Amino acid sequence: MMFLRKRLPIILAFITGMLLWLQFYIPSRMASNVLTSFTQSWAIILASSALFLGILSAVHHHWTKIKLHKKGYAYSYITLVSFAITFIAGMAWWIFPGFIAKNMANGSFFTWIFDNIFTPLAATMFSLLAFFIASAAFRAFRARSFEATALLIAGCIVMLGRVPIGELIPMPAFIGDDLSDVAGWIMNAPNSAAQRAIMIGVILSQVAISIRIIFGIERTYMGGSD
Amino acid sequence: MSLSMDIGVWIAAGLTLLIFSFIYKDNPAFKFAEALFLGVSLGYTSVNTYWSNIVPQVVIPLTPGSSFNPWVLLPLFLGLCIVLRVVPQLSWMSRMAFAVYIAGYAGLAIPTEISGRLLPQVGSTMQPLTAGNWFTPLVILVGVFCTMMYFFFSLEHKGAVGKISRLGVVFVMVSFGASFGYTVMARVSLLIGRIQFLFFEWLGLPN
Amino acid sequence: MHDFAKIILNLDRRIIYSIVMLCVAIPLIKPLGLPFRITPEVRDGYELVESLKAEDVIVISCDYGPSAEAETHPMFVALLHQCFQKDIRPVILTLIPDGPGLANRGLEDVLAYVDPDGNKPYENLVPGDDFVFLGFKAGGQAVMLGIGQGFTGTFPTDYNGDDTGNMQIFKDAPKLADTKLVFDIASVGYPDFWIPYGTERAGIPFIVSCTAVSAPQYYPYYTAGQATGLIGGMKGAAEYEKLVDMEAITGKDGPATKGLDAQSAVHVFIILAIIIANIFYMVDKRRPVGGLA
Repeated sequence: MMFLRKRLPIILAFITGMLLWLQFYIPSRMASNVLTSFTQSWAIILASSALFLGILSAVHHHWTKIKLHKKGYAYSYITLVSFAITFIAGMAWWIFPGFIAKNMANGSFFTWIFDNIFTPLAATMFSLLAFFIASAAFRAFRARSFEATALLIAGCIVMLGRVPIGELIPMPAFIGDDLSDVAGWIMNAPNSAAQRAIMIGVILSQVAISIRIIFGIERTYMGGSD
Repeated sequence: MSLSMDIGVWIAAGLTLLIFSFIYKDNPAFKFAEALFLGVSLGYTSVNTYWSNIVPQVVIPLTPGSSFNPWVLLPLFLGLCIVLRVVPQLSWMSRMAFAVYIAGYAGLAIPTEISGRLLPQVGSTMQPLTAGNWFTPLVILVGVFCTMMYFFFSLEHKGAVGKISRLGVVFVMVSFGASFGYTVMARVSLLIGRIQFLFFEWLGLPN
Repeated sequence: MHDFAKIILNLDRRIIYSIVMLCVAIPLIKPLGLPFRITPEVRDGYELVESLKAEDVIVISCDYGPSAEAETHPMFVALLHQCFQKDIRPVILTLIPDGPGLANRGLEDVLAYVDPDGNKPYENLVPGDDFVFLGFKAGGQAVMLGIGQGFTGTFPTDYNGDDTGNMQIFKDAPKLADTKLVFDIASVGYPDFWIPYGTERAGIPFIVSCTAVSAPQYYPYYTAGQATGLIGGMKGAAEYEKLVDMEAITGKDGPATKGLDAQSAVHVFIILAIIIANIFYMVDKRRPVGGLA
């Protein structure tokens, strides 16, 4: 049992990782088949299962909340009922004949839910941030140091230079036509440089962590318990 | 001005206003909309995952016929192991599946990230300077070097290294400032989208 | 003066919220129609699509959901018009679970579009031949590598459940390398993966259209030539709408173009707010010892 729980996952990780790593360098039909079966079948099934795990966990969380009458459990009823209705609307081919084509087409109940409930809720939820970011800029964006001032000036130039009004603010000829040229240069030169340096660091650490996973040094995917 | 006659638009407008009520303060109407959003989102994800992934990748290959493929049972077994994570007694089985899943992506990432991102990016940083185009490539070269030095903690940031990393901070700050400007732009755009919906689709103001 | 500074710095957040709302609402009702130029990043992307020939196949990855609709969806609609007008055949897919709804709506809206003369120019387009919508596939990077091996193996059915094996579009372009470019319209980080896992391996160009939040992080790809075009946020989408000439196609400006005046107004307000807050912050910082009592 200990082998199944602790050793087997590490062995599987090593075999899978090495296979998919090495196939990159081997121009053979077998290497191509390894890549094809992982990318066209295994990875899709596993990723879908991970999505279902997330959904099940959320449903289980709200079910427990209702069962134990935790604070705000009434809202969990709304979550579970709306989940059930959307799920049935999308899955029940016996209620909506002609599935799947009809069910996914404009005018079906499933797309009606998407258009009139999901879309406005998701879009508005994120649009609230416009108010908060304006308030935060007013309260917290201070020229306290040289670095903060650089951030503030760059932020203001980009904010103005990337909207039409920025094209109405003229600049000296040796810099460019207007503020939008300055914003464009900031994006293409200093921003690009800093983002590229960060990207190079991220890639190097990604490669390092991948090697650690394949060789069983990094085992966080095993979970904490047992 | 012609108010929308579509019940769906009225429901969408109502839900939009429920979410906007949060900017006054947190309230039960917002919490209702939040719970509804979560439920519908879970339902929508599960339906799309099933019809677009499980059906073509599992159900069709396991249905007797020309595309029958019993090898699908292997990843299907591992997929079920992932779902078993919710059962405490059997949650250990998910380790095998996660091992294959995560190590598979790790194996793919090593050569792909190096050849597809790292080398082209490093190569582009070190492009030759020409008489007509030297300033911006030079700024990028200096910026990349100084920023990387700032994040390099194996050397103490004193003397020349300190000065280089200090210049690196300026690049990072300018980039973060640009990101802030773009973040403001993004959030405002989303608000504009919702107000456009309320004004033109729901209230039917002249567009 | 110090008392006044204190009042300003502690302004009720609801006053700021109200001004933001007014800055959005007024220009939408009374638009100024401020002109704007096309940035090179957007023009490069547009011209690459324009340079394609009729019957060429491209991939459009709609990796955005309703939460980023205002920034990304107008771009998708403008791009579809450009493709269908030039007889370019798009293979549309999405790698995020909340992506199919908007992509499908955008596609159906464009297919059903009636031009100012009352004609339906795209009504004879055939699914599977002139375009295809493959829907959502989980797996991200693996899907990109998968379509590098073959579209029909990765997507055995399209969004409507139809078999892709017999579709003409995949007989002409069986795998990613047979397409002319990938156009990723994204609100998530998939452009970072499309480049190494998709376009670099297939040797085809890449164009990224993204939310403004993520645009700065994709500039290194543009400056390195790994992305031929970069269309950031609502402003980028508005520029693309102008290039495609949505006003001539539909008889009115696209939604992104219409929103730009409001965008300018809010940006000006936020910059003024930052300047005012910093001035009063300086004043407040220099208050005499003993505070405001």
